[in-house]
Amino acid sequence: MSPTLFLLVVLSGAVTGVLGALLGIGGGIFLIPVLVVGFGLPMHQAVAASVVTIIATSSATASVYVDKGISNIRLGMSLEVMTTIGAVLGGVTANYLPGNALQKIFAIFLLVMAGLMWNKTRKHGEAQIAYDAAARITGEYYDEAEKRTVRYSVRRLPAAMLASIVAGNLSGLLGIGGGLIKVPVMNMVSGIPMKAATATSNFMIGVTAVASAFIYFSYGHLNPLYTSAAVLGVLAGSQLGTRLGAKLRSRTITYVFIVLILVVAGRMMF
Amino acid sequence: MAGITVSGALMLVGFALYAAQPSWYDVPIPVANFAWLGELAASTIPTILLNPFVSLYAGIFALMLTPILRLFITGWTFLVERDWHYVGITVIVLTVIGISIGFSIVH
Repeated sequence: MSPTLFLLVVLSGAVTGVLGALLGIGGGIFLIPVLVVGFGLPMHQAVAASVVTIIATSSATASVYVDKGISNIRLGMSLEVMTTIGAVLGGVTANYLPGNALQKIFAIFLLVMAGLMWNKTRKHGEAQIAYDAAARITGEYYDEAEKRTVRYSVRRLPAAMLASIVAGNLSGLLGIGGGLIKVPVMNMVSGIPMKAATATSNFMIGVTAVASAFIYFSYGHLNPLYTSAAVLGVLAGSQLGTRLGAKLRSRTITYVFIVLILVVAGRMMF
Repeated sequence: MAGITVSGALMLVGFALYAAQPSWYDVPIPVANFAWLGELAASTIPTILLNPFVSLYAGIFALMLTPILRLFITGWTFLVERDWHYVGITVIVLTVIGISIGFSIVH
């Protein structure tokens, strides 16, 4: 790896970290196409690198959210049972699929995600938040922006668990965090405030990723040079993204991101 | 944060060693399996310390251990609170990750 290539991979990781922090996602949907299309890394190695960078994103952000009490640990752990099982199965399955098949599945996934992000940004809606003290899982946190304590109870846990096994499976299979699936489901189906859903997802994605990271490692797909360079970039980028988040309009960023992933999906598909 | 600090520092050391020793540029990237660990074990300590891939892999592993450590802390918190339901759930999650690690070792 030349110094120029190292810097380019670090830069890609930094952009991934910024996007991850701004959009509340692991960033695999940006990093994997860049590594495959931009740097010619085999698909399995790109997925393995992405899985490890997700751990970095999660570790950098989760401790802050847990300390502030925004992450709902009990909910996260309940969903994590299904997610880790899904991730291990996804990791094993991915290693039996040829690289080009995995690439096409990833491209289809990108197109679906672009559609979901477009829809979510246009509607800009949030589920009705309700509090029932008798519910199995409840949560509360202090919202600094709204200057009030938000209380909520978790509804339809089995539905969220079902979505979690799908998110975990896609995480293991495609090297993504799965936040794009978990966060909307937690918010729209289980009635969890968006902030708590994002923070809980951040707590979860690292654990999910570690379950499949060992599988990718065992198959020899972990490229230490690309993975470490991307991780260093992600660590720097996520810090920058957290600061930029307050100043930039997330809707504009999302639209730019959607156009970007559509172009990349097209390139990976054909 | 301690996990990512240690991990980031090890990766930086690895890249510094890699950049300082151009002879490594043409060496095939080693896969961190038991055979490679066996080769390392047979090497001298300075050889191990100057191998950039040792630092890079150590950084990656430190990072991979961070969420597992967080799970242990979470489980311990539930144990202190005597919340047996969530102690059980934490044990299940740790078991699944244990299976994943076991699979990677056997594989």
